[in-house]
Amino acid sequence: MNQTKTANAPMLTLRRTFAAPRARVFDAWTKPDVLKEWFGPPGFTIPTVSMDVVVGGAYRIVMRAPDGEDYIVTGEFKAIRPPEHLSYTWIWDEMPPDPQVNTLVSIDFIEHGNETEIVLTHEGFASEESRDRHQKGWLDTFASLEKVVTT
Amino acid sequence: MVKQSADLDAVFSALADPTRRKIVERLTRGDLSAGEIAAGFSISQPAISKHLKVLERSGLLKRKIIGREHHLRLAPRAMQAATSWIETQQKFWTASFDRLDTYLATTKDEDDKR
Repeated sequence: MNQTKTANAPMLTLRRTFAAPRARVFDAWTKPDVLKEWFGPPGFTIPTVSMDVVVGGAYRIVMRAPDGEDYIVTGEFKAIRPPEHLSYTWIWDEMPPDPQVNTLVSIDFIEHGNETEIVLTHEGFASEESRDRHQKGWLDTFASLEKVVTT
Repeated sequence: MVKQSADLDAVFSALADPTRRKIVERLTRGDLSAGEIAAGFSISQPAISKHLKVLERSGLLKRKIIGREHHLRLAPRAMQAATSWIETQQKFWTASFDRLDTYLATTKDEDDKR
């Protein structure tokens, strides 16, 4: 059916296989108590997670860095199909006057026996006309840009 | 970790279009005039000019008008902000995945008992 409907070329696609059944991996993303155990870089803690896991429901995750600074990410669930797919908007709550960047995170959970592969894409919001799924993603563009930027 | 100063939404929207990505890629090889850019595409000059405006508004391009010629070049600051945003996200997810992996492994036994 209509798998992850990608509006834009993804900025970022990551894959990782976990040695756990799919339902457990899916729960790790949707149950606040479990999410607290692993979300964020090493050394970070999660003092607060609120999530209303329904389509259109909001979530808010407060991540505390080892230096005590809080980073907050918020968004809204766009698709929930346990245990195979999840997508939500992803907005870092910036300190003004920095702008917010509106992005979309989509995760597919693929079953391989007792293991589960995650395919995570992180992309910008659609806001413009044409799109072509066969185009190379932004990462390629950025790879060439980086050469320019770093010289 | 996530601070930036450029308007990244505008940058990401601008780069969401394949024609505009091609324009940007072409400009990584050197500055071009609007005419030179248009010559490389089969779409009309007005269409290209619209794309250039979007890129310019996003901060990715700078335009210099000399006589009747429009010269375009990439503006590194907007790109740097965008690349560093992407790198930050990539690091964020990779680090989280590592921790999730550990978490799933250490809780496996409890789970089996259930």
